[in-house]
Amino acid sequence: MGAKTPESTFQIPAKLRPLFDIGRDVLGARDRANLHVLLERHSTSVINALTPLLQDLEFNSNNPPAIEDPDENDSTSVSLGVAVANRLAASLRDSIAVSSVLMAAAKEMLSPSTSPRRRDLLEMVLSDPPAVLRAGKAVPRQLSLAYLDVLKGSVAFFAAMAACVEGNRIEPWLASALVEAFEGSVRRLAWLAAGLGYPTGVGSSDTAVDLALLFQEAQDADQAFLRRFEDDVRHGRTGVPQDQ
Amino acid sequence: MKVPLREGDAIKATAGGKPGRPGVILRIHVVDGLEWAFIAFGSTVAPKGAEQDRQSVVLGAGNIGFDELRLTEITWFKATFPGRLRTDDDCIHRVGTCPESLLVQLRTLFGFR
Repeated sequence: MGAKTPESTFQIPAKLRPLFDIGRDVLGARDRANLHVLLERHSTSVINALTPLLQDLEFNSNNPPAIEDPDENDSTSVSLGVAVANRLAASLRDSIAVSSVLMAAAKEMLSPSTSPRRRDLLEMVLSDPPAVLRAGKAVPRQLSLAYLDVLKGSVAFFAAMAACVEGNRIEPWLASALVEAFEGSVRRLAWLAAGLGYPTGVGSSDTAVDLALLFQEAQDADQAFLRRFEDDVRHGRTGVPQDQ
Repeated sequence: MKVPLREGDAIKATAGGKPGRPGVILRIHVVDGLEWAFIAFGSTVAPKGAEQDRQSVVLGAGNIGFDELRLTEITWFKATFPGRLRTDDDCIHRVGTCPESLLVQLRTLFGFR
C-alpha cells in the first residue's frame, strides 16, 4: 500500500460497508498472483453483499448516469493515477451500456411471450451459474469461468473504490491490475449478452458464442459421465483409491 | 447432525488407515436408490511421466484452493485417482467449499464440458 492522502470526509453508507470491507482486504495483495487468489476468495461474499443493493436498484436505461473522465485532482486519479482512473471511467461507461442491454434480456426472460426453451436459457445465464453448478446441474465450463471473471471484476471494482473513498494512494501495479480485472468483467458480461442475442459493441462481443449449444454439449457430457458413474458403482469400482 | 454433501464441497476422507485424504465432490448421483458421490482425490505422490502429469491438477501453497481444501503440502489431483463413496459414508468429513476456478479445472479433468 502506498501513502495515505488527506483524510476523506465521505461517510460510507451502511449498506455499502460490507463491499468496502471486502475491497480493503483485497488492497493487501502482495502481487498479481495473490491478488487473483483474493479476488476469487471474495467472489462469493461479494454476491451476498451486493444482493440487498440490487433489490433497491432503480436503473433507468433511458437515463444512465454520466461518467466523465477524471482530471488529475479527482480522488480516483489521486488514488489510482490519472491514466488508470481514466481506464476505470471508460470501463464504467461500458458497464452501464452492457447492464442496460442485460436488463432488456431480463425483461425478455420475464415476458409471457418468451418460449419455455428460451426462458430456460435466459434463466441459466442470468441467474447464478456457480450456484447452479453446485446444485448438480450441467453448466458449461466457459460460462462458469466467465461468471467467475465477472465476480472477480466486481470485487476489484470495490477494492479500487475503497482506496479512492478512503483516500489511499495505491501502488501502480495494483491499481492497474484492479482496473484490468474490472475491464475483463465488463468484457465477459458483454460476451454473455452477445451470446443471448444482445450485442453491445463492447469488447469482442461481436463474435457471439452459441450459449444454447454450449449448454447442450455440457448436458450431453454430464449424461455420459453419469452413465459411466452408474456402471462403476454397479461393478463395485467404489471406495477411496490407493495412493499411486 | 451431519450436513448433507453437495457438489463443490471440499472433504477429507479416511482411507487405508490414513486419515484426511483431501478431495472435492464433483458429482452426486442416485444409483439404484442410493446416493453416491464422485470425488476427485488429492495425492502427495507426484505424477509419473508426462502423460500422467498432463492429466493432473497440482496445488501448492499460494494457489487458490490450497487453504480452502486445508492442504499442508503440494498435492496432485489425477484423472486416474477418483473415488466413489456413498454420501452417508462416515469416512467423509466436509471441510469447506472448493473455489470455483479449481472446481471447473477438476471437472474438466474428469470429462465435464
